[in-house]
Amino acid sequence: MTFARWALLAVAAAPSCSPPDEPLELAPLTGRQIFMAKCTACHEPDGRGIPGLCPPLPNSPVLHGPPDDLIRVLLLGMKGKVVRDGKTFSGIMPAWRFDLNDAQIASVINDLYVRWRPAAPPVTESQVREIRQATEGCPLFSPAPPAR
Amino acid sequence: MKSRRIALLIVAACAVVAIPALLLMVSVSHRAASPWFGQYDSEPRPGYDFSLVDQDGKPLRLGDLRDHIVLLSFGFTRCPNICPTTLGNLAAVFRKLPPAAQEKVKVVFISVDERDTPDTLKEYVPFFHEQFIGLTGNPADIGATARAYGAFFRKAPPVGEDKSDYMIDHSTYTHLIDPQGNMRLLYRFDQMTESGAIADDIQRLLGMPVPASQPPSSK
Repeated sequence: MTFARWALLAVAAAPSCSPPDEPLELAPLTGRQIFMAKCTACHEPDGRGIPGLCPPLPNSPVLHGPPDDLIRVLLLGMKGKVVRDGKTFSGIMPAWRFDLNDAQIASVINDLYVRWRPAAPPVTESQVREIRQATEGCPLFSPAPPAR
Repeated sequence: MKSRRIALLIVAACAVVAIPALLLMVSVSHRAASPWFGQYDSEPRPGYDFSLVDQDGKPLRLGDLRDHIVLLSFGFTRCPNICPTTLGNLAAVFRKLPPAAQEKVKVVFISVDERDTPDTLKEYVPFFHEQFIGLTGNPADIGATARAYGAFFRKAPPVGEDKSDYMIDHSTYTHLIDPQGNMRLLYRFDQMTESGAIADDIQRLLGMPVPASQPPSSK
């Protein structure tokens, strides 16, 4: 066998760098993963918030109010003073409508519900879509919705 | 003769594959050896000594912040997502630092939006932390500062008929300037959620002990 044939065999036997036959599974991020990546700087992983800036999530009137209000807050953001149990919070919440799609916003809300409002029916992607369309062009960073 | 030429071709083909692979391995091992979470420049360069106006209407130069670590980001107060997220993450970094380190850190937000005034910034920056500094200035000074730090910004087309209703596309890096005024580290937007790792970088630069010395998970 010539040197060239040996060399050809060696290259053919080398591990292949070609892509695997099976397609990569790109699982969508869960609500918890999105919360951990985007929300915990202010809300903290356990939802306790930041004194003076971000109120706690577990007893939030918005979280325990109509889902449409919560969807609006996630889509439009929020700023302005919030008073809870005699304590004042004055942070700002980003508007997530440009970063998260309808399914992702629904999954974040459903993760919040699982943890702090387990009896609530899950929010659906189409509910978020409706509110997104209804709030198109609305000013961002509205004050907190009134407790209902 | 022919077989020797084929052999040479094969050796050349192997070299084409092997040399970049070797370079990649060297680059990865170099990065793994870095003590920094942020991306770093092996030869720190002096940060541009901008001269802008703070949220109280007072002039401020980078040189005024000497002996402090400066965490510098560019943005605008109407930004829906990137700026509040970045500043929220910077506030989380700040809270992770012990008081002695907090005294040595200045978080500076430079607005690239001509609609932002000192008053706008005075309302905005305390949403994140009362010690954060918001800066504005004339467009030429803002432009020169952004260029010097490699930051990019441009007005996006107005949303509707109101020409004053527009967003600004802008780069999202946070720059770390050391107490000697040198650009030392750069954080990508997606790195900013790692507040503990950034706080570790700061404490290392300040010569303070880093708690539970975890190896930085440089991305």
